Amino acid sequence: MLENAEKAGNGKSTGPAGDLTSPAGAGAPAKRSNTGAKPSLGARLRRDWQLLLMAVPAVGLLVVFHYVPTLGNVIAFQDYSPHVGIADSPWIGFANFQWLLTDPSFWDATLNTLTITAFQLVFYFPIPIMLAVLLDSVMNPRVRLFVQSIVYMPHFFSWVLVVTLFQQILGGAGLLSQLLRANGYDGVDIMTNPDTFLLLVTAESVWKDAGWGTIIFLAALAAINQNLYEAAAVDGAGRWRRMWHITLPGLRPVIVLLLILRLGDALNVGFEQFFLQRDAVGREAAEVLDTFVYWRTLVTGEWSYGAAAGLVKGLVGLVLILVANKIAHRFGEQGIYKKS
Amino acid sequence: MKTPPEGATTSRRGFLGLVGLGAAALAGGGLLSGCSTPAGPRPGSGGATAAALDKLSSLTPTHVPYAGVTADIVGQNGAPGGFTKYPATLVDAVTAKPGKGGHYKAMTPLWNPLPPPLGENSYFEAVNADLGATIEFNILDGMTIIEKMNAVIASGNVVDITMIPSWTVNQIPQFGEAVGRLFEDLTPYLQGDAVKKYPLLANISTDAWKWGVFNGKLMGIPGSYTFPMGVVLLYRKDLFDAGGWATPKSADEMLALGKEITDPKKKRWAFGDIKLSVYQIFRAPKEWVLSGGKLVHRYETPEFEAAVEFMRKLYEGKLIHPDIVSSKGANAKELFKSGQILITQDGFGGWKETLEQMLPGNPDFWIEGLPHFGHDGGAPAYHRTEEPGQYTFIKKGLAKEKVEEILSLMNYLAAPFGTQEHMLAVYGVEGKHYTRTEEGAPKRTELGLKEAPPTYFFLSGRPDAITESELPKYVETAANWYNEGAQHWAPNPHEGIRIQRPAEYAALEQPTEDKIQDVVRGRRPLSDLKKVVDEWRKDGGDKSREFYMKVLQDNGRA
Amino acid sequence: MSTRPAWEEAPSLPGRLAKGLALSLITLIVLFPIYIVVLTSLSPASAVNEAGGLVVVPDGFSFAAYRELFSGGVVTRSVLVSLGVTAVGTAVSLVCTVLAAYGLSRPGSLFHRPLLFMILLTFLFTPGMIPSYLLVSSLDLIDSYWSLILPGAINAFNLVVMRAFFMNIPEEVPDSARIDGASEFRILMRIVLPMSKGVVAVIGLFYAVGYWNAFFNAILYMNDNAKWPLQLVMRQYVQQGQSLTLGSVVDTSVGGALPPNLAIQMAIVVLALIPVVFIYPFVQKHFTKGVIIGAVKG
Repeated sequence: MLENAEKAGNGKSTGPAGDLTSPAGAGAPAKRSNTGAKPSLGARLRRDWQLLLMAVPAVGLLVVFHYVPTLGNVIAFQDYSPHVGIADSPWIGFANFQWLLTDPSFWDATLNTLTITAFQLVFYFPIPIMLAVLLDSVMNPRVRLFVQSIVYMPHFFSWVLVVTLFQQILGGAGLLSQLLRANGYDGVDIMTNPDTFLLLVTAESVWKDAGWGTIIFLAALAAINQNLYEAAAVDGAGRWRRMWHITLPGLRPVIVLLLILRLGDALNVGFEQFFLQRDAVGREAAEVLDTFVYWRTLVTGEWSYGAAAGLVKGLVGLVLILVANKIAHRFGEQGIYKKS
Repeated sequence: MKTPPEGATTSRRGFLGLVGLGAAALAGGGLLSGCSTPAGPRPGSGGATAAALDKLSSLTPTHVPYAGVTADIVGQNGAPGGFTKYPATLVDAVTAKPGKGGHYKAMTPLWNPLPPPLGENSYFEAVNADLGATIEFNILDGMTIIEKMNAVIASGNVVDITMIPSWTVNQIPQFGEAVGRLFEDLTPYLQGDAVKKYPLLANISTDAWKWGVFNGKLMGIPGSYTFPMGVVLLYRKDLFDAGGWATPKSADEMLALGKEITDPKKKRWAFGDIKLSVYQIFRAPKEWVLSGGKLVHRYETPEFEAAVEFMRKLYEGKLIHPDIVSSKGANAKELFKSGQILITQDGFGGWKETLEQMLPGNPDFWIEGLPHFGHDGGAPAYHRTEEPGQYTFIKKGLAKEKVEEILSLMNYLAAPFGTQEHMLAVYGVEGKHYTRTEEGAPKRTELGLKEAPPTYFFLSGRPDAITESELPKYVETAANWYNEGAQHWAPNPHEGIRIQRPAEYAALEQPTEDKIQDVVRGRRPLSDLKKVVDEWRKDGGDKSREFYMKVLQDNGRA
Repeated sequence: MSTRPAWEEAPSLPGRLAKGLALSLITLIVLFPIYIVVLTSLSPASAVNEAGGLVVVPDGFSFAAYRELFSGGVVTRSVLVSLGVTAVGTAVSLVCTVLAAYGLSRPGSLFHRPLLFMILLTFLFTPGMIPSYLLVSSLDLIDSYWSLILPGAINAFNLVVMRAFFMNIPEEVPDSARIDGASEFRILMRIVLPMSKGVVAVIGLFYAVGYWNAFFNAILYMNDNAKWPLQLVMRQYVQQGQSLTLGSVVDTSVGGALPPNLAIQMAIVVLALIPVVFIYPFVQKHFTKGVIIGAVKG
């Protein structure tokens, strides 16, 4: 075992993480077993048929239960009514898209959504990573288990409950306000201020999901080769240098992957959280794409319009993912998938 | 591009089905598919229909009031009656067994905990035994009934008996078309004197039956139609008495009272969300009002503007509970019960519910409906709910005997308060699912609470009344309050016309309401209200005015 | 008890203090609201009515809410349904996801890019509710437990994340086994999986939590109330007091004997948390360190 560890540890002393992320490493493709001219299709099929077979169940399930009903999104090009059906609903070309894209409310909602996504990328996204590193550094396994078991619980609370709890503490009739009033000050109402709404929803998201978000990073941290740390420590690298040179590079592929996936989801920031607090701060601050679509589909029965909005969202997400993936490749990262 | 010139298509699709029996006209929908140019009319405008119910009298069943049971406080002007005493003996309204041993599935929504299913539920067994047929419930989650019904109706997989709340019906596009495809036409079974075979169905009022007509056919059995008051302002009379506050007689008094009551240090606020009630206190119309031969929308009336200004003052003065202000998820009922809110708006059922929950633990607790008043000391103008709360449909294509058997079952379940059938269907078996209090009122047992939520009750309609005679003081106060309130219905030019409004007008509503909210909550100046209304006109308000005017003209009302 | 390896220096006192303080603060911020939730679920009607909402200061204790939930067999049965669906569903999802994630993880393998792209698209374009219903209905899966499992069995996010973890395994490891003539399945089972216990546990947790919390598919696809999962049965308790329309119907449910609605709602939240509290240690157990290289030999 030690022998193997040595080998792994010494492979690239400058970038120890290279071992764990070897496909991502700049020099990695050179190590591919199939360098040189591509083998013929038949040869590749003979070589890879087992791998393809393994992908069949998942792909099959997705084709049947995802792709087939997703075809139903063609109603975006129709004036659809569920009671008439797709076959008999009239085709109207891009009219729904045109209505959507010329509707200033759609752009307002898109702008709000993107603002929230951008803000949360900076102020939410790193928190689970930091929390995971912090938890991982706790030596006492019981303390670690206890804290982690606690902080991931709020994920299971509904948004109604989370908002109510925040209200109970920060609202105009909440603990903080009552405390202030008891001491002769005015109450505060953080919950209805449109200017700080972005902070509020981000704080709510952090409280609810940051603990849950650590899990995947904890798994990634556990997968980092411990021998690297030992080797580095022996070389005299201190705590912070080890974090910088081993921990973060070890987490990097996962961070980049999640970042890219989050970008693909940039136009989704959730529905309920904003639906609940929309009146409190007004449409201008709290209308996001999902609430916008809600008013236009279920409430009014405009299914086609909703489908059009869904397609636009998907296209934007696709473009963002592809661009982000490209950028990741530029920086020598694996990203979601790599050109072979 | 925001408002493209009105295409012929829009108006055709919108107006074709307008008058009365528009089924044939709507069948021509295929002709209207030629709008493929992107600059064409806004999609989603289909399915607009309006049917004047007074022209449907020939289709509705003959009204034969059931004389078996009468309320001691008689309801007037559409108000429900009240029973201050529990009937000593229950009337046996249906003597012959209605069922012939059939087995039917029934879909109803439920807003209560799920009862144990058939086979493990002695209440279902008891009622089914008395019915002489088996009804097996497929209970739906009440909060997502729209999603479910849209899916079920799109697939056509309906069960034998389906109850759909009317607000759900109105949010399902082109429901009128779906209904004929999926559900049995009951006209031949119930029209005119045919209904006399089902005397308790004949007891349902003609006005309610008219709403059961879809696309010129009698399709749905109407239910829950006897409480036309949409919202009630309830106040904590116990706390008012203790604090020495008098109920307001005008908007100014209400505002002054609110300032007096509200005291955040004591965790006490005057109001919950009372927007809808304020509109009615200011006599703003429900939707349209006919003025000098022209339709004026409520947004355009000075009454509405004054109501908005008043609501704005309530927000400015921080007289509304902050939880209500900051989240849609806030629970006004709990805050009202705890005394953090003193005046709240609720459905009429909330009055009794609150008393039932609070009185056992706190005998001094008392709430009442706020005495009726208008903003200027005159009368309010209440928005009358005309449409029944629900419809029950029977699956299309069942054999004639089956349809007749189901109608017999519906007849049984239409038995009103004071009959043995009503008692069994609502409460279950005496001694098992309920016991009698000293006043003779039924009180559910643990088993009853578990096994007998509203299920059979939802399948049919009947004239309902205020029947909580175990709280005689409540029945008296509430019935009298209702009778007084029923003298003040707001005029509604479209009264008695079923209108399925086009999606584009429905889509206009939320953005406009949002902007009004911004004004009410002080995020925009009050002077912006005019701008908001102008935008509403431009974005489709004027077009919808034409639509609603056409409805009136087609019905000879303008 | 500490697991500090020998080579690691002992932490400094200020460092330990800062870390302890940070952890305590984080725990408190999370625990305080949870305390409110638990307390409310254990409060009698009078306390909830007094507080006008969630209870912060204890004012008597009552198990009425929990008794109410568990009396009668409806909730108990739905727990079994949920457990069954979660167990079978997680197994199906995990097996398919592991297979596909591995099948698509070998650099340069045939069709892996188009297949991956196809999977990725499902992350971006989602089917509408009505087409999904029509599909499930036409497959005759209405009222079948499979309708709660198959439509969401594969989650593109989970698949892509698992694949990323597989790709981080040094390539020489499976390659050397291939040269030795091992089948891909054998490589997956004997080499890749033992090295990936952590991620398999995490993705398994993600799937399990997804199945446990899901209710919308059951709303759509389960007409038979005896087959409702726990979350859907629980939702019904939360709806009490909601009228058919705003006030136009007589609600025949006589209250009185019912415990306060809010206490029940919170009891439901607490009940939903219980399996969550118990499952985490099992997941964490697989976050074992330093096994990567050792496992290769096995």
